[in-house]
Amino acid sequence: MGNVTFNKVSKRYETNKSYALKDFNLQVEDGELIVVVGPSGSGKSTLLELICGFETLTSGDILIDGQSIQDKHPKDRDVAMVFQNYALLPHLTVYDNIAFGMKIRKESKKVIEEKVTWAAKLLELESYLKVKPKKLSGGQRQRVALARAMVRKPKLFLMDEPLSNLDAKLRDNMSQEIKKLHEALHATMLYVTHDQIEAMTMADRIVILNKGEIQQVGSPSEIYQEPKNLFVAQFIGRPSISLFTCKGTKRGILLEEEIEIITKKQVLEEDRNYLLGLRSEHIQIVTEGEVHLEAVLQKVDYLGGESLLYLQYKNCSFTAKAYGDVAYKKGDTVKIRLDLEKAHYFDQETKENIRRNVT
Amino acid sequence: MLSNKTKKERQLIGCFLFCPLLLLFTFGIYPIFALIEYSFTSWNGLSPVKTYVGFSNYIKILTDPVYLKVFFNSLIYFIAGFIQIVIALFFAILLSTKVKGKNFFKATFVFPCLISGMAVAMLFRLFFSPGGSFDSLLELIGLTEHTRYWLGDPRVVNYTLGFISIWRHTGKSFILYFGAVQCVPLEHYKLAEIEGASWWQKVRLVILPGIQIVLKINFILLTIGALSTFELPLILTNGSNGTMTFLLQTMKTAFEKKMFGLAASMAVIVSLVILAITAIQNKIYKGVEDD
Repeated sequence: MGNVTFNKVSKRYETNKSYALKDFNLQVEDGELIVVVGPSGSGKSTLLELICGFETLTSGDILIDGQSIQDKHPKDRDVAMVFQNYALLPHLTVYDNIAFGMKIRKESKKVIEEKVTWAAKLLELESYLKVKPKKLSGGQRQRVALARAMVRKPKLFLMDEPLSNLDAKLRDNMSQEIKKLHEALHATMLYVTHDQIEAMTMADRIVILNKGEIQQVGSPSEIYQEPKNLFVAQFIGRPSISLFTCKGTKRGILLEEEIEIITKKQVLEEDRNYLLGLRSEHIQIVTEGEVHLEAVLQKVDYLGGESLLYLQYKNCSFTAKAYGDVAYKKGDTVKIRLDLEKAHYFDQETKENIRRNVT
Repeated sequence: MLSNKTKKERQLIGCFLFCPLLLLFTFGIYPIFALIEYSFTSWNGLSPVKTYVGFSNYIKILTDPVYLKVFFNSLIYFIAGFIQIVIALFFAILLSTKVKGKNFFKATFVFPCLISGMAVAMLFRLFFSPGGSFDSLLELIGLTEHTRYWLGDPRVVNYTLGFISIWRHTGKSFILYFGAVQCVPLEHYKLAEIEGASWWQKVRLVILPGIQIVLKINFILLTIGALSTFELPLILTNGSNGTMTFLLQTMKTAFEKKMFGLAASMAVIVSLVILAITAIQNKIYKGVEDD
């Protein structure tokens, strides 16, 4: 297994003025599972194309185990890819699909059999080896694709949205399985997805991409608790972060132009516009004590152990999380306390999180 | 009220169906049975008397070497068709990659099948006439001693016709294959690329299996086409010098020799042969897919 270094990797397609990927810097450690997440058009697929060698870099360099792969043919880069639609060859049996690459590389029959058996055992595909992919379920097909990537023992596994063609339940199973596989093989994996939950549950580290640029790199909890900018804060976490407009005052902050909250120390620049971001678990409905504002309940989503309360204050809608049963119903006016200790402040102009600078 | 309406509706449907059904039966279904009936007679096409002769028409066709020759000719067209598949496939794959002037080449391939068969035949009659363009070409490259009566010499004329058939029909196969090759998922190529497949391995392991359905269909069409070749030999040689094909022979027997009964049995035979071949191919292909 190997480590991968991205050194100011940039890609601009000839037909396009803007960069598909710009100054992508990343150091992937041996055996790490990196999830690259971003909305469509963020440059995730471009990144994979560049690593595989289907596209050439505009500038920068990619190193695997310290060696530049820029001038290497795709087959010599020692990477294996798992595709979103599995890319199983329909006319071949599961066995032949797993053995596909080895047959091309003319490995001996004995070696092929050993490796296929090993991979099939690990992924519980033994009883399907003689079946054609058409007869398999989505999850099984994906396992075959994984097995095919595994038998190569590549330095780097690339996974291009491998779970997005599966239904929700299978997706959970498969993501666990991939995670398990990652641990068992001690493999370096680069996993691309647009699904932030997948990213949060699987990754050692998450890379958040938007419009070709890295927004933030960090562990799932870092990303969730310390989003670097507004994009990251909004992209990660469901329900998405609630935002209030606010301004700095001498004594504290002015929320939504009228509620002044006095803080111990001055966090915000005076008369400058900010967005205050709070996760739903940090917005509480209270009956007594400190109350920041009163809002109207628009909708309650009952999720079992917890409920999501969609609230409206003037023009501002936000979401609170409540545990256990909720006694309120639609249309009720409720008292809200904001847990300002946990608040993020984003500069209206730069969209950066200024909290890091304050503390 | 309701039943009234349905009755009216039925009448309306009946009115609409009457004409098409009448046409279908008169010109589609009835002739088939009439043909089978004629094939057991020695009818000349005009006389009111149709003398029943049993299987003698069939026996004659299947035993007389003059009539059997046409099957050999069909074989030549079949081989020509096979070459046509290979050429069309080769260029379909080649033009699916990044090539400069792609559209020009595509148009060049497809162009011949846009020209009417008549015009093609006239064109090649000039091209292959003694002292014509083809002979000049041979002279130019110093092969003068190889010139011959391309459309007259019984030893070469069928190959000449086969060649023209390739030129004319490759475009059709090309369109089919080109479309099919485009439908092979991009990921399959990428996979082959990462795994280190050579060009030939990509063709053999990814493209050919990916387009096998089109290949099969084309193969069936080719077989039928080879058995029913008609216009080229009719216009270029009129079936002389051993260029007779099954359909041409059938037509000549019926309308020139006025042996309708015999011609009818030829038509029945060719239909049965095509039916049988298609059935066999279907069976083989089905077996492959169920595997």
